[in-house]
Amino acid sequence: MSAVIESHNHDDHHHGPAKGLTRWLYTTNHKDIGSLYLWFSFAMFLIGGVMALVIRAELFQPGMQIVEPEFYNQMLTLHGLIMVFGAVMPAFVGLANWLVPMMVGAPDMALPRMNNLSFWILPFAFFILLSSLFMEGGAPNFGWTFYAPLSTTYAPPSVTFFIFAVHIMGASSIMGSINVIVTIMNMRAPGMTLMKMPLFVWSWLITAYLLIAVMPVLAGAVTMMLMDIHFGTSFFNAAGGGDPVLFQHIFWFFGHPEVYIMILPAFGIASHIIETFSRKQLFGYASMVWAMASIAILSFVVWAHHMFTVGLPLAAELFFMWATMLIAVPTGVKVFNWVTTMFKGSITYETPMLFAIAFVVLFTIGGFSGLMLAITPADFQYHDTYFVVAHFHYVLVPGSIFSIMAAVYYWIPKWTGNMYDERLGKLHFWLSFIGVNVTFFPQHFIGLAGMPRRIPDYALQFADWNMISTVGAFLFGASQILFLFIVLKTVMGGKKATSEVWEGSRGLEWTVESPAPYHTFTTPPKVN
Amino acid sequence: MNEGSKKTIKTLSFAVLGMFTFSFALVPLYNVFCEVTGLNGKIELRATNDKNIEIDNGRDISLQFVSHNNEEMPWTFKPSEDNIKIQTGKYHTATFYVKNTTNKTMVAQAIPSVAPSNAAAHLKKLECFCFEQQELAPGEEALLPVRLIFDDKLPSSINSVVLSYTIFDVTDYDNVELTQHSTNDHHGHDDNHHAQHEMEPSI
Amino acid sequence: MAIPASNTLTKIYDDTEGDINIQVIGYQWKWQYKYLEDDIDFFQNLTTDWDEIYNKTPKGEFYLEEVDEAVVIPVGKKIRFLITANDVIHSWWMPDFAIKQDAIPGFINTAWTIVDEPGIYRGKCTELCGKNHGFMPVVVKVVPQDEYDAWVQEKKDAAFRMAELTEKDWSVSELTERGEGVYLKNCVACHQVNGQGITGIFPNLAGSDIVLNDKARNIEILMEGVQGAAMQSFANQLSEVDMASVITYTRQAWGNAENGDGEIVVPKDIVEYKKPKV
Repeated sequence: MSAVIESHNHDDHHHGPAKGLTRWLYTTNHKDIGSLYLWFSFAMFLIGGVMALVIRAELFQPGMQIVEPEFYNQMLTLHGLIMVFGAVMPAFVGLANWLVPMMVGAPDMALPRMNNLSFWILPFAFFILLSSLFMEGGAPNFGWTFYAPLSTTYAPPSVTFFIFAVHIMGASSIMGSINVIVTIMNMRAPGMTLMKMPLFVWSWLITAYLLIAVMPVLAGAVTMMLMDIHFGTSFFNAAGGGDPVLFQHIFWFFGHPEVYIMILPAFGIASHIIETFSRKQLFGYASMVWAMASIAILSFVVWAHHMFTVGLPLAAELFFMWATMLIAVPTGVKVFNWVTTMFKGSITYETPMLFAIAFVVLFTIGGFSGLMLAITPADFQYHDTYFVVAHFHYVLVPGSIFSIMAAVYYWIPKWTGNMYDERLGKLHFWLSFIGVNVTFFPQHFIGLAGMPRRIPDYALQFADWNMISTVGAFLFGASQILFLFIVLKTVMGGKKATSEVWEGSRGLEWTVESPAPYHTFTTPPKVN
Repeated sequence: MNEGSKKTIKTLSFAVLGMFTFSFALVPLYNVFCEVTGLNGKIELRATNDKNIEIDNGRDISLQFVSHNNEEMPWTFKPSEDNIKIQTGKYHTATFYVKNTTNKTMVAQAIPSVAPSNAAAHLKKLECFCFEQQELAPGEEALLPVRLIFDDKLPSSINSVVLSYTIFDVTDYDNVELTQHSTNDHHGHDDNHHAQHEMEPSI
Repeated sequence: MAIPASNTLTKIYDDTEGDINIQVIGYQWKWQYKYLEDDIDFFQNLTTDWDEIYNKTPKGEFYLEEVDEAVVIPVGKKIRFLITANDVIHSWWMPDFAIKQDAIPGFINTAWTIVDEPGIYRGKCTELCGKNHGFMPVVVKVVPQDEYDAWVQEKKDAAFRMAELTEKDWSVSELTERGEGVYLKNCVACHQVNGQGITGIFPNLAGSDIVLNDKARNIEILMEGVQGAAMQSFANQLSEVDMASVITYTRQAWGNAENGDGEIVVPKDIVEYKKPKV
């Protein structure tokens, strides 16, 4: 990182980053912590990715070739947990750390030391989670959604460590969210009213409120599990007067807002990138804010659409169906606005823009399958099949993950001062784009044809599409090694970047040098 | 740090604590919601307080009993009659035969469930072996009664109801009390468990 | 889209009675069916050979979709299913009937169907329920009414014949032969074809001390299961004849006959075990 110094008039002793490895242990600088989160999430993405490849390799052909069913269940569980809690969420927090203070003209996050703590407990938590693979009875094997009683009465001993790890991850998210909200609400530069904030900042403000509301509920759910397992309570045990379905209600009350937590920052990123590369102001700023807020509020009243087959009463099923279909409306507004921004814009297709456009198109496909799932009587056929797997991977991979990659390509010149290699970036994009579609599109078909989720082996009629899906998965996996190479190469050198970096870029972060100085906006800028 | 920031931090911290407490509050809230609306076929695990639900010219419904031993719990457990015709607005007593065929004393908990689920809100019980844990000595057998009534607000589309009981082995539980265990005086409660088992199937 | 969907859903939530009521119980990892009107009760296990699954022999046409006993129902009649579970949450899915309901321990969910075309229809378990979630299919056979009536009668006769079989005198080879079939269907997933189990997870039966020398404990384990371990009780799933023959098979196979006390188990032993102990 750069050591360029601005004149500053406070008593801070730092004139640039500390030297040595302990810099990373003790840092309270939002840029450093942002980098820590991003590297951590990349490592988790690769580890979770390897697990996905174990799954896809086993599913390459009918029959058990590579792993036993017990281990397969551990792989699918850990794959989900690591991708959700280790890859997607920390990546967005890393982006928030790097960008939010600069975008609002603040010198750092509101609580820099808590920021450090929020990061460093994460490797600790994931070490606990991954080490469960080596415990007796193996790692958690009950799916990332860990329904009781499979995850309580019938769980392996490692479930207690799983619960501990989830508590720590939750604490990290909660502390991070408090930091984000306090920073945005209290440290904006003078003149930056809420409705002048960049959309990425808005998306994180809303996401942070969602996190505050629902991560404690997840903590409650796993605490109740802990009590059922070790302290003789019966929250989820019918024998003691409890109810397994109660677990699902509590889990999904967290779980549904959670998936919006994993996509709202992506919406923010898409807005920035599409605006810049269309060289045209984003269409409908106010409606974009309204749409994100509506999605967030609605996300609290749709949770039971994950539970249509548990035997809910008719009135409940109808309510959740209607509410779920309603969420398509604000989401559609956003897609319309992105497309309108591009219309008659002066567009160039650098790598960030490629990822952003692919995001809009493929996320919309995921949204359509989501609409199909919302229709309750139809969902009876889709629920717990590969159709659902296809839906959520479309919204998460070419959704969240593509937006993260887009963000990395877009802002890495600001972070490092170097341009990434455009040819290699485009190659990475096309390989990923093809990989992701070859992997997940066929999964719609096998789901509709009758293949359930979370099975290590399948009947012969599902063989062909499974084989194709596996080929796509390996292609996608291999292209992420290319991505790693591109990122490392850029960190180490490349064509020098200007402050503005991209023609048409707007926002305070583009007014500082590239690479951004270690301390920026130590005096707040004036915003008009 | 400015005052505004401190205030925000305080508010957010309370919000976090509040949501954590809310998740625990969901447990009783869920049960109340289920009782009031009859969700999930959940039936009250305590005697009804409703007076005046008996009427004279209720309609016929067929009531089917179904039993299951959770985790192959080794008791014999079956309804004395599988299928009966009763009227809404009239009490009926049914019995379940149960026998501990092992050589250890065991304790069971029966959990009821009703289908269709919107019948649950209209099913009331004056007494039920599901209100309490049942202990049987080795070889002991019993006829366990349930005295129930369907009020006449049962939706007219429902003509047949299935009442299922699943028995669970709770011998090793640390004296688990049912979360909805009532302290109301219900029929026969002043006797001890075994007295309740004396069989006289009644109508 | 929501309006036609709401109408369809309301029709699905029909709560009138069925002509035939079948209780469906999900187990780890098989289904049990109880026909409430006719007192018929049987289990439905996957019959695909584990050799096919582990790629030692070629896969058959209905790989992972074939079972030992289909659920038989008549055409044109309303069948009501009462779905629950014995242990963890499972889910009973018949795509051709558009039925999917979760099987939740302690609670009953209902679903109904009227099938117009005779035929064989196949379904799956659709809720992660442990190790063999992918290995517990459903098969429903829909037949004309007269065939259904004949099947019901046959089931009742079979129950009667089973009682006779329990009384008869069995030879060792008869028991062993029958027992091998029972073993391949119920035991091989954990204890393996060669009786070696999986080290650290499922115990070996070949050369096991209990199987060789402790007939009483051997019977007790099969009848009661093992507390805190994956070994469940098979008392409700196996008839006395099948129980005796599978235990005898394990006591005879893999060299156990030569190395152990040579005791076998006959159906009458199981009947005796089931008598109250006081």
